[in-house]
Amino acid sequence: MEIAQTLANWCQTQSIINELLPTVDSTNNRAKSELPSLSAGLKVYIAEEQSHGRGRGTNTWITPGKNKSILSSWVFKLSHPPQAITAPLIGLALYRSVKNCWPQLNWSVKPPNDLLLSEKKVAGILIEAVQQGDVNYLIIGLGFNILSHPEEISLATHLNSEIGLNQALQLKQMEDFYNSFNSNINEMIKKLTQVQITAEHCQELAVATGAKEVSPDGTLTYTDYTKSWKDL
Amino acid sequence: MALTYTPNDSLGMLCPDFKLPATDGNEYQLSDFSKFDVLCFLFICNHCPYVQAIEHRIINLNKALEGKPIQILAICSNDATEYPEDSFENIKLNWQKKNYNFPYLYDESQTVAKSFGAVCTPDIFVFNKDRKLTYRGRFDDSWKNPQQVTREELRTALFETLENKPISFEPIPSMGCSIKWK
Repeated sequence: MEIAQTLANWCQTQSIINELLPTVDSTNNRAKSELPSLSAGLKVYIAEEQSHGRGRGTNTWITPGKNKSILSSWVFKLSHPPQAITAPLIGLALYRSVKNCWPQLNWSVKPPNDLLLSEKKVAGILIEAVQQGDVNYLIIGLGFNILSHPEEISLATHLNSEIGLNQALQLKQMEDFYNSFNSNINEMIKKLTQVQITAEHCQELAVATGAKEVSPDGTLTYTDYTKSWKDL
Repeated sequence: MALTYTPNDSLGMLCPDFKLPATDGNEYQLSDFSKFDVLCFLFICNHCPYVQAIEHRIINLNKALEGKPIQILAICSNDATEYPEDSFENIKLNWQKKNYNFPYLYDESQTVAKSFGAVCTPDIFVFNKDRKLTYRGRFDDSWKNPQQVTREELRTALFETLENKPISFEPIPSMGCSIKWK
């Protein structure tokens, strides 16, 4: 199964504009370079391989090998600048999607932007906002190790290794994930003009992160410390 | 969703005062530039590809302005916690490495960015002799590729402001990464 192609094919079935690239420095950078010509509400940039995948700050996203992981950027045009609650809500969208597709697995969110599977990093999100006058773009970079993970990262894993032979990954499962992720991020996108996280989402985030409590501004309370989502 | 550009809603705005440290070791405030007829502020940073693409063009423009009573100033207001590349230390290093030929100020509290209404990097503001905003728009018409530039819009705006003429074209907003607010 060629992961990049599965996402490109799914986009086509959904009439979502997409661009499949054999190799790119980073899908988020590629998206940034094209924004002025983005006329639709959503475009997905997909890469088989990234040479300079990025994470938050100066972090990098290491690609395990060609077509082994989802390397993508989902670009939305927004009516307002995204608020500070964007990161937790998009993290929740990813968590909900994987829980929905593979409920038997042990998923958790490690704030601010990692998805863990059995306590090991399996996916990461890089959210970037671009503005031009009144026009706002939200770029959601998603890297998700599916068939392999970088050997050099000790606390990393990939989906197929955890899923079990009997349920080995099939195209249908990938399509279900794309449907679920698309549906969940679209739901969250509608809420990004709000300043605070709803009580329902706070509760879901507490479960996802293992925090005792998540407050409406995204502050996480653990047993021995409290920290704002964005400071993590 | 409608594409509505409103770059000029603040035209005529008085230049906000400021007092900020700079990469050259000095501290600058608005009154330090009173001898210049035109002031141009560019909110920039290190990490943003939109800035990286034009930084040499900013340097070249400033060279071309030598001897003119026009002062270019750059300000970095990004939250360095989230983007360490944009810390004061790192903008000092970039300022030295790239030989920026204009003052590069550091707005740690982000109050100056807020007082200007800056939203992204680069966000560009030009003020006339009365320190009223005459231009807010993009640097030129091809941020990606300097070979494809056909309209040097900031340069035109600077000279028209210097000559006390109205800006002769409809400004197009600058596109860039959102300022990383704390």
